[in-house]
Amino acid sequence: MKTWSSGLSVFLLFGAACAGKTAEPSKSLVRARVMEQTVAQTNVAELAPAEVSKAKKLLANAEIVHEKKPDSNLERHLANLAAANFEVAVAEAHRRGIESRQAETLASMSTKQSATLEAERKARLAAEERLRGIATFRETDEGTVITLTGAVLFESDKSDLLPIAKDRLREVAEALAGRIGAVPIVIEGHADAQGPAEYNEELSKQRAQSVKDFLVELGVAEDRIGVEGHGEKDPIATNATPEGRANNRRVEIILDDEA
Amino acid sequence: MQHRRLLLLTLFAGAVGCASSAAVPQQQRVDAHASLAAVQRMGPYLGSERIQTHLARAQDDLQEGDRLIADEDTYEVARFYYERSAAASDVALAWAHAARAEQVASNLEAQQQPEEESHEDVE
Repeated sequence: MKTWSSGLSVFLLFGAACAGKTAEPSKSLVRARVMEQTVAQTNVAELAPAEVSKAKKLLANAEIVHEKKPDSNLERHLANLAAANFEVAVAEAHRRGIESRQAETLASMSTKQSATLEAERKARLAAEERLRGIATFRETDEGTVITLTGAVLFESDKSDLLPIAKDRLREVAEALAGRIGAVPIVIEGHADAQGPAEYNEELSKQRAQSVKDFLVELGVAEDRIGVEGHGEKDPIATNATPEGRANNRRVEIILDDEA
Repeated sequence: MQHRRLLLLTLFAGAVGCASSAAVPQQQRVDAHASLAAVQRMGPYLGSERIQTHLARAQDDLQEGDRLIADEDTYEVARFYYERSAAASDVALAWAHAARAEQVASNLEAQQQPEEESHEDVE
């Protein structure tokens, strides 16, 4: 189209110079002119400069044809193409405006998300600080593992929580308010190596169940808590000393943060 | 000798010019078909009346162009129908892209709203 239009321009400029008369523009040309004026009053040229430039070139060609052959088919054709290209420019500008606002929204969402993550991190650190000496925290692939250690949880060969164990669990639940209950929890019970392995496995499960029951008493939804008994399989200390065995009689609370 | 060469060159250029002006508008035909196909790929975003109007115009002009190009007396005129069809398709496509952008923005807004509400709940 460019080839014939540039050749045509030269020819018609010559013709127009010879003729030197004006005539009524076609409806198509009027429409294209109106669109050009409308576009000029908005920020369309700013948002879609290439499209506006193309439309203007077509309109300029239509004007040249109009000078030479007023209300001709070619004038109407070029004016129609110009009008179509002005509309393309308007639509493109509309789209780019939306996308620009959307990019701002996404950027603000990302900032908010970062702020939320930072708040969560601070809350986690605060909880860990508060529970220092009562429990230990580890971030693992399974989630956050809170280990409640020592003989203060259970007496040997018993699954009932000691009063001090309840205080500790209450502190853990308070410190982790918002996380316990919000994410699935698995409570793993562990036992020392005294007695038969099968018995210890059952005992460790009963211990985990005791912790679960207490957390449910504190208001955590029952269906969010799973219970497992690992028996004497995963010791964290020696079973040769009373102190080591006390530490092996432990409960681990696993918060599945990824769920 | 130089005059003769210039004359030959001019005649050759004229012949090429005549041949190109009478050429079958194959490129315009390809452009028009490709433009319409591009619009039709935007299926879910073609619902608005404005887009449908441009789409109908593009299809009508394309059909007319295809009819005219098949006749040796009218094939040159087909160029104008193809160009108009491609222009109408371009307009439809631009509005379809705008409609898609609106949809994406609306989804994003809907996604953001519950988050804001839940933050308010926490506060």
